[in-house]
Amino acid sequence: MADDWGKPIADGYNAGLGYALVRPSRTPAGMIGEQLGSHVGSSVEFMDYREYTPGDDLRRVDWSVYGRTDRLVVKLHREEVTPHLDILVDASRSMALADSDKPASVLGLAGALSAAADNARWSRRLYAVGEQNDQVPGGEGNPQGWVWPGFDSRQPLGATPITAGLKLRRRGVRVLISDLLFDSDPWPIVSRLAEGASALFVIQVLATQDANPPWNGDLRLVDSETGLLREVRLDSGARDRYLQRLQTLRQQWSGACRRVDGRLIEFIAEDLAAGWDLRPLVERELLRLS
Amino acid sequence: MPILGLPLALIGLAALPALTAIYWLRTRFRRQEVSSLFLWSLVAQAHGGGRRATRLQTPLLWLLELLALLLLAFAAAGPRIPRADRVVPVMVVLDDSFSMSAVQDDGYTVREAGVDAITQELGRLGPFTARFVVAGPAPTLQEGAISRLADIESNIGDWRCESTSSSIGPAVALAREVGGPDCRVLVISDHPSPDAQTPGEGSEAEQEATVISTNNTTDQAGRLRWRAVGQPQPNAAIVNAVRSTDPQRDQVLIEVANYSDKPFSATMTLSASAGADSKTGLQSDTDLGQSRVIDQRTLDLAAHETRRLRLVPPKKSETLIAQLDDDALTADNRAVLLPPAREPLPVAVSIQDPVLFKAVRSAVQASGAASLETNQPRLMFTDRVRQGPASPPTDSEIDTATTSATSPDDRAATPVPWRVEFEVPEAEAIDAYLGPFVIDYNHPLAAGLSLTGLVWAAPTTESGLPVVGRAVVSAGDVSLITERNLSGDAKSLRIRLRADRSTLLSSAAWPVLIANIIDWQRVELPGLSRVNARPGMPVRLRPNTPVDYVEVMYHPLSGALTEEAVKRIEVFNNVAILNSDRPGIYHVSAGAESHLYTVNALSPEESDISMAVTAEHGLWNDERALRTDYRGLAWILGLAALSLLALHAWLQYRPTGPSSAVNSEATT
Repeated sequence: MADDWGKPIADGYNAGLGYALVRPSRTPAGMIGEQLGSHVGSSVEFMDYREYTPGDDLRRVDWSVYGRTDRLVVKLHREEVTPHLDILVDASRSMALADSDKPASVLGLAGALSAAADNARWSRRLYAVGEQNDQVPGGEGNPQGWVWPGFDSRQPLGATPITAGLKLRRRGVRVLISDLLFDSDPWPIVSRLAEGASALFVIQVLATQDANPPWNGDLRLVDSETGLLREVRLDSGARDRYLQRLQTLRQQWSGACRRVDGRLIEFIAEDLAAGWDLRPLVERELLRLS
Repeated sequence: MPILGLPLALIGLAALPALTAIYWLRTRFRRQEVSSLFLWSLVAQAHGGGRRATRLQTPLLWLLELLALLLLAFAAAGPRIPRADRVVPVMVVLDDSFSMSAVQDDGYTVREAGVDAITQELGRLGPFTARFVVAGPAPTLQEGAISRLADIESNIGDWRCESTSSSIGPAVALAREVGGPDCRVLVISDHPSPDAQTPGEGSEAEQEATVISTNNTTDQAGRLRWRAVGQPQPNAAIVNAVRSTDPQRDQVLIEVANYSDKPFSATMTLSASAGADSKTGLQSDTDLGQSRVIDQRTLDLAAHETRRLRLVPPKKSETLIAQLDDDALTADNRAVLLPPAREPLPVAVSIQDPVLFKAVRSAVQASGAASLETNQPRLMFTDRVRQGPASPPTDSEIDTATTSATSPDDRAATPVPWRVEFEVPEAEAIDAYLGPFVIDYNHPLAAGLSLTGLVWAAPTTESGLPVVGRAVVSAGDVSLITERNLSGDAKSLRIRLRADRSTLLSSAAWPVLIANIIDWQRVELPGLSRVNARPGMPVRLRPNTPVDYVEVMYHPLSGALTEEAVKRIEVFNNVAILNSDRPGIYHVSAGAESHLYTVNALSPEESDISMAVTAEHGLWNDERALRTDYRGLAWILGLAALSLLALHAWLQYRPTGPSSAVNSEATT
């Protein structure tokens, strides 16, 4: 773990200690664990009865019912699972925009989610998605042990399939943290992420200058990822068109998320880093107070 | 007008680089890193900067502002276009001096060059109406106006270039008076404008400049255009030609000048002719009749030398013709001197005082216009003062004064002589006056008379005789010379003087006074007052028989006959005043009698054409001409600028929709 990211991760983790992940309506699947799943399992929690069919374990036949009704019924119990959280953090260079709190906010947010997962006794993994989708070493454990590879990807997020090379846990909750500022149809990304997931949350973290460009006059804009230049004359009209475009982008992502019952949550990096206010996550039912 | 003279236009032009600088500063690009460029794809790319060389494109608003500023600056400069209906009034002043007749190297005269200059100047104006003023000794307004260049020559027939002076200053004043405030004045001359000459360059030029500038008001500045079309050339000229008026001592003085920076040889021929007879007029149409050469000599003149020649004509009754070789200016190469027409004035002197007697006789003889040897005096100097009613002199007076015997019949036919009476007081009854002397300079006797510093002894008030008549000279309330009328046209002059106690007789004022007395009486004699006159000098004619008018016919100095109309001059009080500005020979008919007199072109200033120049001075595009002849474009330019600014405002503040985003952005 680079020292540069230690403090924001720790700040975020500490902020997340007061929260726990909310189990989604669709019971997450996972390894046998401490929590009840939505499927039939082997826990002691009664779930339902059903007619006996040949092949059922005779140990699960409710003999008392057979005595009273002369019917063979099988007693069903809920399964016991351990829910899982996959955190995918956009590792492109735009996430480390100069003069912004985006990298600190993104990693801090990952830390906060990790804390909330720990509080809810969920397993978790952290991935850096970019040119190469890699699992962050130490991402399952204490955030202090994370070895974050850095925001060095020159490739926008949608350039390659986002799940390529990743072993995401089925029926796990998946959270994508990105600024979403790339020119790509969000649906392929969202649909791939949602495939096999019990819930999908997309968290957009923008710098203040991304959300509301403060400049005026003639600017030579430099793309932080590709290094391309564009010279524009910025005034209120141009700013309005930019914000319209940004709003359109958000609507596209929000629409894509709704199609898979996912949710889009927006943050301003500087605001988030200033107070680590995670209430938007609670409002969108990703977290709950623990 | 130079742009520096238009502050508003200058400010407007200065605003152009200022505006450009503002845009340049505004269009400097600041580097800014952003997360991604794709959201900026709909924001139009700015032009005018960048790393890559692209075709120059400028913001429309900047162009509009630049154009509006340019229009305003142009409007501030006051641009004007000629009015379609304008007719420019022009007054053309023509220098009529004879130096304008000089022939230039190209064979054309200065006058012809002046006509070309007029054609050029009027041709540039578009529609015009022009009138002409000939600036001779006095300005003369030509009749009619022209509006076509082809009519110029026909309207300047009186521009003969024969005058010995040119009154350009008064002519310009007349032109402005006649032309009105909107007219333009064009001066055609062979010497430069007085305004263009440096101060002290010439007294005549200074005077002319004073006259012209006196008539120059602020709103008229710039309306005078001066075209000098002369050419400096060497010239030999007769600048003075005088013939004695004393028939007994006929002499001729001729002055020949070389107006050149180099020595010059001129041949002067003096001819005598009997052709110019005052009784019959000019008989030949080529010259002054049969003439014979009486003297011919070559004059080797140094640079700017004036040579005086004194000659005695062989016959006093012949006309003398002085002729130089032809050169660039021929008008001043010939002088015609007629013989004196009048006999000397018979004068009698009857004075007892020997000192005064001698002084009077000497002064009379020195005048050259009077004769003492006559028996029928027309003027009598006497020391017998008569009082009471005016009456003719007595026989004893005449006998005493004349040396020749006269018969009573002759005396009866003799007109009453004028009397000059000397009142000589006793030595004990005089007062000596040192001045100041009061002189009536309107009286003919006062011409050139100066008594300053003299001692004048006159009778005391108590002892003197009563003074009657008009005082001509007085010292305080004491009249020293008085005039009164005698019977008929005769006059009497009383001079109160004690000669031996005065310094008057030994001063220059004495012969002047006696000469004035003689001339005073001579002008009353029948005939011409002079036969060899100078231009502008009035010639008085008293006919022998009363007539109502006299007729004057002009001939050039060559004596050639012309077809010019005979000019009729009215006679008042039996005197005709003949004003002759043109050099030439004038034949005057008064009833049955006729007379001749000449006017020679004697003018050193006009003969000196070494200072002639070809130059232009002054422009016509003054403020008034701009207002009257041109239509201002400032308001049109102002409206255009306002329209551009309105378009500018619309482009800047129009509602920007998606469809117009790109254009709006590009013009921001």
